[in-house]
Amino acid sequence: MLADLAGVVFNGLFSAMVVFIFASGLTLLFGVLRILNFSQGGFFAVGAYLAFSLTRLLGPALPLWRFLAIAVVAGVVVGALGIVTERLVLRRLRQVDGAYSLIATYALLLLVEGIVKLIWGVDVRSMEPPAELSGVWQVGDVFMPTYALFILAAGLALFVALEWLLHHSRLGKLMQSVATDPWMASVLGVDVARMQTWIVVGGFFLAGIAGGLLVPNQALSPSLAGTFVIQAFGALIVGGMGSVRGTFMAAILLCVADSLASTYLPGVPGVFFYITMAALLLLRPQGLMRGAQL
Amino acid sequence: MAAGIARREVMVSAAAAALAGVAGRSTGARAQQKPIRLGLITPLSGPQEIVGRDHLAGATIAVNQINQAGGVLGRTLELETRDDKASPAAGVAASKDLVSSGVNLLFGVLSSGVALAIAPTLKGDDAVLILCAASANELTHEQFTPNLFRASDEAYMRQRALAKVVAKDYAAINSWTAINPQTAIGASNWDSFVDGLNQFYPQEAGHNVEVIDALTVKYGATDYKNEIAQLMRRSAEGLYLGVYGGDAVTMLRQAAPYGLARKFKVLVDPGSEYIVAQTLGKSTPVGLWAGIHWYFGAYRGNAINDALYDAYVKSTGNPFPAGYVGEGHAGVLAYAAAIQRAGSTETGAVIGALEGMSFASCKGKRTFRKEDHQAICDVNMVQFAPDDTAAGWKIVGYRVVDGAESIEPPSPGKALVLNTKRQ
Repeated sequence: MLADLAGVVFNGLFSAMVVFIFASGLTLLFGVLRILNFSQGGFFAVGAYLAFSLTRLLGPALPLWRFLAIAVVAGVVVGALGIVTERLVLRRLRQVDGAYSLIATYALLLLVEGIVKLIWGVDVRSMEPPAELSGVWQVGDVFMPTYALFILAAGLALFVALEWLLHHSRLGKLMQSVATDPWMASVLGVDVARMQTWIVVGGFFLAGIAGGLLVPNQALSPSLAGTFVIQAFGALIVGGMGSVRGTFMAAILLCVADSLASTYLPGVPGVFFYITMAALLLLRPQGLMRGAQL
Repeated sequence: MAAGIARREVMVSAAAAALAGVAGRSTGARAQQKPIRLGLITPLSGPQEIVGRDHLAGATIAVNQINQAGGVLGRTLELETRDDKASPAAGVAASKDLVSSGVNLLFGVLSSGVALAIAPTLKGDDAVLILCAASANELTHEQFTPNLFRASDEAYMRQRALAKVVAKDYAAINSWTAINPQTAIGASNWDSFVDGLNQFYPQEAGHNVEVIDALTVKYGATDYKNEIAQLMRRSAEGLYLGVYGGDAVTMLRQAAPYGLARKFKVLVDPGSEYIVAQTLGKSTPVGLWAGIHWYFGAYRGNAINDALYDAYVKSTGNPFPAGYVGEGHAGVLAYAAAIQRAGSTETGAVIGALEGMSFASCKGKRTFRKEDHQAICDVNMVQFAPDDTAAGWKIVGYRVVDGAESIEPPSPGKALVLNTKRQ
């Protein structure tokens, strides 16, 4: 029973890191620019498909270093797409109501889904993890796939990196100033427009690298774009709308609760994520980390 | 009567090689008549688009073949296609749109939910629908409507045929379990399979089989690790993999480190056709069985099969046409034969012609039962294994089960009673 519980919590933590890795870019964009970027899933899918194609292109062997390098390349390419998106779409949404940005980015999601379909087709595809991440550690009755351990470490590393960047670096302080009061930041000499562009690039880079890292975990199909969007928005909302720390904590709470429920209340799979979300919002309507910066 | 059926079969079978049998008017006469419009309803966007494209490919090939052979009643066939998005609301809208455009002969429909939504509207719209994949048992039972026919296998017939094959080929197995999506069709498929296990294990293997309750997962789930861990701890020897298509790929990919495929002596995937093997390649579980609407390799020498296969490969370059290609093709052939038989395209006349009609298709003869409009047809299964080719997989076996051996007696209007008793 205890082993069951440990395994279930481990699996919940793995899901939480998947959701957090996906949601980190979303949180960054909302935290600074106040844009609910529904198209994040589309760019996540682009990153995943790019990683899939690059892996195929470079041959059957996939050592860990190449897997990581490909994920970074996918992140850089999607980050570059972020510049285009920022110029053509997001920049125009800064002065309008949030509902408009939601609709516009949803349209962008559909557009990206269509482009993915045009380039990669509608066939289901899949990719193996590198050999180093294909095994499993068994501790007692608890199975811990090495790929899941890797994703746990990656999620934790991403959280620590974002925390350091946002709270302990000069760049982070500038980002916080732009998020808090762009006008005042510009008066004090911050190039706000340029900073906002780089934040979009960062958010898109995170979407791309998430696609590259998570591609061995999911079947690839044009519907991949919508796969994690709802869960990521759930973590974003429960976390306090734009707080990296809040999103991280919310992802853990929601996914571990869902994991426990899927095992001990198996009749209603997937529902408990939303029940927990509703319960947390009833308890803390302002979100877990309201008031915290990013 | 048998001779009459044979004649019609010969006519349509001949049409398969060049589909000349249903023709019979000169080109000049045809030019003066409007084409016969057939309405294909299938998902052409969304997650099931890949299946809709297969339906469309098969239907298009059939229409081209028949038209090249002279058409039906001297008229050419014309395809009107609508996207149902695998959504009941969009399906009803597609059906209504076709009817309002003057198309009364509808076919296709992948999703049982879509079929269940369209079915009650058919009578009022004076239209007829031939299902070419939707498999819910209810459609020919409690939701029966005289305007609905099903040319493809139903859940009960297919799942019990699968159970019959495993009871015979894996007689030493004593227990089964499953992982199923939380959908109506997922539960219905599994219950039908259990019904088959309960009947065929005693018959074929000489012993009862233990059935361990199925695990249920959300349709479209992204993580299966908890369920995989539970399956690893189960004593069952056979696994029924009810999760479908991309979900099955995700689940098996996540299960690979656990050695799930090695733990079970046999894995049965009731409906993913080639998707799992084509996607997983060298990671395809050894000996995985998959249900398929039509396996071309089982019907070599059948003129319709060979003509369809050649046309499909020529147009796509893909040597593995999905079973849905065969179903789209069969839908058109069914209408061609029915219109020929009725001498009319009027709804009532076509329904009358379809009832009890046999027609030849890419997987042999199909016969619409007069009582519940369900076609008795072959059920196909293929078995996969990884290999060293570029594709990474190969077909290592197949089975063809006569649907008559696994279908229930007709009982339109009444719910199907299944024997799901756990032994």
